[in-house]
Amino acid sequence: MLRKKYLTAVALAVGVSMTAASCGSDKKTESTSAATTATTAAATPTTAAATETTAESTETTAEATETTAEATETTAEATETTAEATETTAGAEGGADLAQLQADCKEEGAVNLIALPDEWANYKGIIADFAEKNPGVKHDVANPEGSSKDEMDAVETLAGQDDQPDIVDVSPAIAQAMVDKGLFEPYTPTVADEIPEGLKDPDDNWYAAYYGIIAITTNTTIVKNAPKTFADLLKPEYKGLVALNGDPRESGSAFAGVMAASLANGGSADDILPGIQFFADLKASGNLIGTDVTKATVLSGETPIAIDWSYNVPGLKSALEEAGLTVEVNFPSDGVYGGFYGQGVIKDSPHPACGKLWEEHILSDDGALGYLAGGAMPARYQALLDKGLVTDELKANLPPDELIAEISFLTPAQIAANNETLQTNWGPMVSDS
Amino acid sequence: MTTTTAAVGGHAVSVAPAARPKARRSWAWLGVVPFFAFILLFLVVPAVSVFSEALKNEDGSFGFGSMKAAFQGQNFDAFVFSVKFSAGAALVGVVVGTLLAYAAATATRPRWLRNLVTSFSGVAANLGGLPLAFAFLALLGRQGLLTKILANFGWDIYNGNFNLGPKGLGEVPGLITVYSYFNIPLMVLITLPAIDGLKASWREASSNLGGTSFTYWRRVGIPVLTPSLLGGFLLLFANSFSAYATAKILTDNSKIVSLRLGLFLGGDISVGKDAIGYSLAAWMIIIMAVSMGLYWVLRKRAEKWQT
Repeated sequence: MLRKKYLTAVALAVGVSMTAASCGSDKKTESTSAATTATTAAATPTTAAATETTAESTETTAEATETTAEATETTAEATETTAEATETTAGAEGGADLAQLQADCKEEGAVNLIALPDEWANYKGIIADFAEKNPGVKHDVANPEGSSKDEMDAVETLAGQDDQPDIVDVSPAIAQAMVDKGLFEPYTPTVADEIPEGLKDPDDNWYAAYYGIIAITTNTTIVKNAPKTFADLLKPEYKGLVALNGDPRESGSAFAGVMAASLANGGSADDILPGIQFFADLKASGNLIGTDVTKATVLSGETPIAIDWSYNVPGLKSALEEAGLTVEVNFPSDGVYGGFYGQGVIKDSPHPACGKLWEEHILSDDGALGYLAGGAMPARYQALLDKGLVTDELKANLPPDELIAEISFLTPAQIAANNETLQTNWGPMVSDS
Repeated sequence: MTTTTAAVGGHAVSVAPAARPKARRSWAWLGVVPFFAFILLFLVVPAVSVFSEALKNEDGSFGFGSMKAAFQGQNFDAFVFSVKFSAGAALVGVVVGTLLAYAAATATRPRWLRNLVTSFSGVAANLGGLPLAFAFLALLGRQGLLTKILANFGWDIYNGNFNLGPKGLGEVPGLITVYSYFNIPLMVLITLPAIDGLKASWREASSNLGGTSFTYWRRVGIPVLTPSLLGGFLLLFANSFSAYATAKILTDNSKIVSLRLGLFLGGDISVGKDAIGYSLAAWMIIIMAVSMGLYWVLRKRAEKWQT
C-alpha cells in the first residue's frame, strides 16, 4: 500500500510518466491499474480547478469526469492537465496536496459521513459523484435524518472509535458550539479564497459549501392556486394546509422559516418576534397545521403547503412524479432569508484524509454543481458564474437573481438571541396555544 | 448435580441433604444473573447516567440548577399538562378496557369471541409508535381515506361544523383517541385474568344474602378488582406518559414532556442546554417512581382489605 501511495504521488509530480509508472511497476492485474489511473486522472481535474485555470482547462475538466471509464482517453487528457499542474506544484502546495489527499484517503478506505439525507440539496448525487471519483472508498452516511446536535453528539461520544464522523454538516449554531469545544481540525480548502465572508469560520474550522433560502412549496395537485408570499399564506383558502418543517426551537429549517416570516412582517435580523406573531396568526386562523414536513407527508399530501429550504424540493422530484403529484415552488419576495450549513473536518477522526477530501469534493466545481442541481446555492456560486458553468437548466431551481442579491446571513450571536426569544414565546404563542 | 445426588442417594441418606444445599448455594444464583444484568444495563446504568447529566448547573458544575429550571415556567406547565393528559388517556383506557374485558370474559357465545379478543388485544397492545400514527394519518389525516370518503358525503372533518380542530389528530382528543388504540387492548390483557378470578359463587352468595347486582359490585366485584384496575391505570399512565413516536408524528405540542426533551437534547439550534433535557428526563423518572410507589401502597391496602 505504501508503495502505491508513493508511486501515485510521484506520478502526479512527474506528470507524463504517470501512466507508465503505475501500470508498469505494480504487479496488479490490468483492471486494478486501470482503476488507479482513472482515480488519479479524476484527481487531476480537481487539482486544475483548484489553481486558477483557463477556460480551456475547465472544459477538459468536464470531459475528464465524464469519460473516466475510457482509460486511454482520460490518460491522454490527464497528461495535458497535469503538465499545467506541475507548474503550481513547484511553488504552492495546493495541487500536490489534493492528489496526496486522494491517495491517503484511498488507503484509509472510508469516509464516515453523517446526517446527509438523500433528498437534501442533492446529497444523493454528490455522494455518488464522490464514490465514482474515489472507487473503493466506503462512504456510509450514519443517521441520515439526524439533526446537527445529533452530529455533534456523535462526534463527542464516538471519539476514538472507527465510526466517529470524519466530517459534519451542521447549522451555524452547532458549528459555533463545536468550534468552542475544539472539535474541529482547522483545514483550509484549496478554494478557500472563492468562498465569501460569512460563509466561513475566521479560523478555518468550517466552511459552508452551500446555502439556501426559504421557499413555499405547494402541492398543486391539491391546492390549485399556490401562495406566492408570506402574506398570501394568511388567506382563508389555505385553511389547514400550511406546514412548517419542524419546531423552530429545534429545527434549523423551521427557524429559518420563522426568520423569513419575520423579515416579511417588519422584523429584522435582530428581531424574530414578528415572525412568531405571524405564525401565531396563522395558527389562530387554522391555516397552520402542526405536522412536520417530511418526504412522507409531502408525498401523502398531508402537508400540501410547506415552508422549507428551497433545496429540499428538487430531490423529491422523481418521487413526486411517480406519485402523480405536481408541485410549485415560490420564493417569497417579502421574506428573503438565507441560511447555510457548515462543514468542518473533525479533529483526530478515524479517516482524516478522507474527511478533508470530502470537504474538497463538496467545494469543488463538481460538488458545487451537485448542490446547484439540488436547488441549493453553492458557496462558490460567483466562481461558477465566472467560469460559465451555471446553465439555464441549473438556474431553473434557483431563486431569481434579485432575491439572491438580497440574501444575508445572521451572526451566531443573532441566532442565539433569536433562539432565546423563540424558546420563551413559541410555546405559549404558537405550538401550545 | 443430579447424577451425584442419584449416586449418593442410595446408601448415605445423611450425606445427601448436606451435599444438596451446598451445591445449590453455589450455583442457584446463576439463574438470576441474566435478570440482574438486564436490570443493571438497561435500567440502573441509564438512570444513573441521566441523573449524573441532570445534576448540573448551567456552567456545567454539580448542582440542582438544571433540575430546578426543568421544573419551572413552561417546563412545569408541560409536566402538569402531560400528567393530566396521560391520566386522561389512561382513564379512558381503564374504563373501556375493563368493560371490554368483562364482556369478553362473560360472553358464553360465540365461543371464539374471547379468543379473538385476547389475540387481537395482544397484537394491538404492541402496535404503537410510528406504524400506528401513520395508520391514523392514512385513515383520518387531512388526506386520509375516511376523511375523503366523509367529505364526499358532505362532512368535512377538518373544516366543517363538527370537526377535529385545526390540528386534527394532534389535538388532545385526537391524541387520546390514538393512544386508546394501544391502551385499551393492553387493559383488556391485564384485567381479563382478574375478571376471571371473580368466582361465580361469590355472586351467588351475594344474591342469597339478598344483595342486588349493585351491592355485589360495590361490596365484592370492585374491591376485588381494585388492585388490578389501579395497576392497569398506572401502567397505562406510564405508557401514555412516555409515548414518544406516536405523539411526535401527530402533534407539535411541546407540552408533552417526552417531545419537549427533544427541544433541549436534539436539533440544530439549542446549544448547551443538555442538562435541562436530562433534568426533564430525570423528573419523568421521578414521577414514574412516585406513581409506582403509590401503586404499591394502594395495592397493599387493597390486598389487606381483601383478605
